[in-house]
Amino acid sequence: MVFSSLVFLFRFMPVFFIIYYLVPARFKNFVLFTGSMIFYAWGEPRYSVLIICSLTVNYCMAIFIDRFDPFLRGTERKVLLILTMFYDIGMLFVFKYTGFVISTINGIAHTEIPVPEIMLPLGISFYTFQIMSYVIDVYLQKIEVERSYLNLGTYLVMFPQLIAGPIVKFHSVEKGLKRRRMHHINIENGFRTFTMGLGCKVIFANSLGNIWTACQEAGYENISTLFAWMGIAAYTLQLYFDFSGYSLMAIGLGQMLGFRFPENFRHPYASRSITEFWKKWHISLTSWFREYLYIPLGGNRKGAVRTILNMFIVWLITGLWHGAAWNFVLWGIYYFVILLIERLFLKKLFLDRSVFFSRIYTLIIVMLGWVLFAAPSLSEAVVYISRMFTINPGTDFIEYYYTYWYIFVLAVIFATPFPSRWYRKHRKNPISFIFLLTVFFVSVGLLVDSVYNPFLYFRF
Amino acid sequence: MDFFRKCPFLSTIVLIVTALFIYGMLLASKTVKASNSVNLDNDPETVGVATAVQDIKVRLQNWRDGINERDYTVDYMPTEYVPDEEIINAFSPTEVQDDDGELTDEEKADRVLKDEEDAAAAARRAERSEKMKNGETDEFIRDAFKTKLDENDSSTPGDTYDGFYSVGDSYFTSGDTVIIGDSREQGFGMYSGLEGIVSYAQKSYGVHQVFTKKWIDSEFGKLTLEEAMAANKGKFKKVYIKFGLNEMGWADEATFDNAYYQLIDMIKYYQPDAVIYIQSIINVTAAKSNESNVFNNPDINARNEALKVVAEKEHVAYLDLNSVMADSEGNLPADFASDGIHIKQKYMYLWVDFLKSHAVVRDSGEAAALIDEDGSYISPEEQDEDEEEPAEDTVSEDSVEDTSEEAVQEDEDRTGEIVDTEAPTETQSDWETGGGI
Repeated sequence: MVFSSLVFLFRFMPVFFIIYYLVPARFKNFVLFTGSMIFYAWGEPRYSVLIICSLTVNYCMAIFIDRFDPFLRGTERKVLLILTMFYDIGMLFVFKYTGFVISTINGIAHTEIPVPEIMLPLGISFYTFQIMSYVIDVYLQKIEVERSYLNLGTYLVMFPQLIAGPIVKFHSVEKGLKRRRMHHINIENGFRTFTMGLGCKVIFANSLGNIWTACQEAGYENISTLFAWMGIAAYTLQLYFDFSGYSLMAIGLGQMLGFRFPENFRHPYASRSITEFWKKWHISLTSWFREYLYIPLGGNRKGAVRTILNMFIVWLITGLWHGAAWNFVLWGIYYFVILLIERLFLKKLFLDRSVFFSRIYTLIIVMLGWVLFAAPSLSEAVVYISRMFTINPGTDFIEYYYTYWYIFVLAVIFATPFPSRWYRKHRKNPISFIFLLTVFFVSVGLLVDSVYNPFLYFRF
Repeated sequence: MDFFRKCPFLSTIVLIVTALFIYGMLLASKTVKASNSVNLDNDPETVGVATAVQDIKVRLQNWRDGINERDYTVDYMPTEYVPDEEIINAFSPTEVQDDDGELTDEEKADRVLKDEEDAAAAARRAERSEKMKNGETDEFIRDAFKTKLDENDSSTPGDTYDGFYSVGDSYFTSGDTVIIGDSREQGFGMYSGLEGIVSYAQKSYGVHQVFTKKWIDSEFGKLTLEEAMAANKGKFKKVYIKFGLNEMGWADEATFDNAYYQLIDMIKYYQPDAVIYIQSIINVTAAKSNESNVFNNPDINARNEALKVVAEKEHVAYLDLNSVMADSEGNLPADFASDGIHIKQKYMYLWVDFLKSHAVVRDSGEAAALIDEDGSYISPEEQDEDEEEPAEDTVSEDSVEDTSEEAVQEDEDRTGEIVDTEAPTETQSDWETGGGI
């Protein structure tokens, strides 16, 4: 189930929240856990087993790790941690990367190993990372081990963040899991945030998605230069509104449940460098990689060469996390190279000096990155980029220009920090009330219209 | 009350949604009559509120456009179309402007020359037609171009025609062909590579909107299809219609059929010389079919059967596009459409070739004229030597093969063939030179 579907909005959400608010506090975790499992199993009941396995294994292992004294039995703790990581990464690997690895081997060694068709379990990349952070934090003694299976389970499968993040760390919801206060202000504001996210997803992302789909239907080798630019601009905005909209909905729902989730996007397209961009895009993921990969590898404290190597490893894995294909690997390395260049000289010499050019530079680099990200294969990405930078006259974009120009304009405005800045000041203003009411019903109207509702990060 | 004061936004939404839910339930129980295009099927996706929202939206749109919905729900059989007097008066050529006096001599000469050319062409056509009628070559040529239908091809030419013939680009590009339909037909108009086709196809256009939805740009402003047909009275000779996917949600199949009957009767009235083709609803991909309980192939096939009956009763041609677009299991191959529904430009040639090999012609003269005047046609001798590629045919190499017997066998594993061979890629490059977009 996705949040931006009629079934969620008008069946799951009302029923769930009525029950959730009515039951006494001590049953709320149970209701949340059960409700989340129903939410998860709605589309793919088979893989619910996998998430329960992951929960059970990690729950037990964390308790075992906690049993050993960190000063006297350090080795045992380490072995247990490595075993747990082996299980978590192993599961992720089997279900996400088997096909990729086998087809790569087939390609290199010219063998004919049959590629198994494994459906990617919903949200596996997200919940695996979440539970890994929990076990590592227990090992590092940053947090107390959770003795209640239900509480840990609620943390892991909580439906707002289950499918597409944000990746919530245990310590940020720990208190809430044990005891939380439902406050009407949180419920009201949470629902407002949810509505904004719904609008981002349905009004912007879904409509802009049509332009990108049209580009793909026409075939990259046929599109004109302007259509190529329009297509990738649409995809750039679509991806942002799709993903940040989903995060907003998750944050809003979390607030309605009585939790506080971390912010995941902070207007990344208004950045002045790629370094800044990655501090504002999918914050929960980048901070995860920073905390659990980059810093354990030594970060930037072990000399210049090791720093570069560490960056390379982080970005290679970031690329792979986003998808099991070579263009994602290349996409990761692309950002490694650019971040390295910025770190070495570009930022100080050039980007910090010009407000205008640094913004243009960031946008173009990000858009080219999305071409690598979105193309079905490496060769198609090359074709697309070549269509962007050679002159190919054509009128194929005109129809889409006339249909979607106003969505483009609105989307660009809402990708800047100004509207949310205004909203924060005028929360109680009747204009924002009417605006949100309009957003909600326009979204519902559009949802009723289209049965097509692709969620880009759905399969991650 | 306290809750309303503390959470004004949430409670407003809850109140409105509850009201919508009640209205939706009233619609579902048929206590309140819903608007025509609202799906009242017991579809789990439509959650009461959604039905209500859809109904209110349609009513708002109708109100904005000043539309009173037609009632299609009576049992309807093909009858005479009752023309709308207002529309006829609005578009009848009341004053024919005689511009001759303002023309320069040059223009006059041009005009005379053009008239002469037209007359000469008409004379040639008549002569040829006469020859065909008398001589033995007539049957020979007709047979050579007559399409042998596949086993799985259930297209019917209609009982006033003797069969399907193969024609060339000029059949479509002569300016008297019109396509009417939804976004998939629109895609055909954009990517077929055939220029000069008039396209009255639009995304989300439904068969029930042809009398009411004003969207066709013209010198008179925005027109409905009915008005556009009246404004172009007698202009069109070939009319291709393809609706159906947007209407899959309609619970009542009779409503859909009746809308189709009225549409065809209307076209017959304004375009009496036109050959009308009803194209089947193209199936969706297996993935799309499985995921949706509205847009699934079994239901589409059922609708197509109904369309065939409509075509039969109306004596018009029915084209079974699925015989060429769907695989052996009746699904659109996954590769054909990235969204599972809209055919990619790369595979549009299959559709184009299908239409080219499924044309009905009124008499032998017309057939002969088509064959001769279009340079892209092979002569019967070449046809005998077997599947030589027509020299100037820019779009396709398969149009000829379709008429040969080998094509029949190849068709059986067409999906595999398309993926494996290089044929589509070659066609692709042909599109570019032909200015496909």
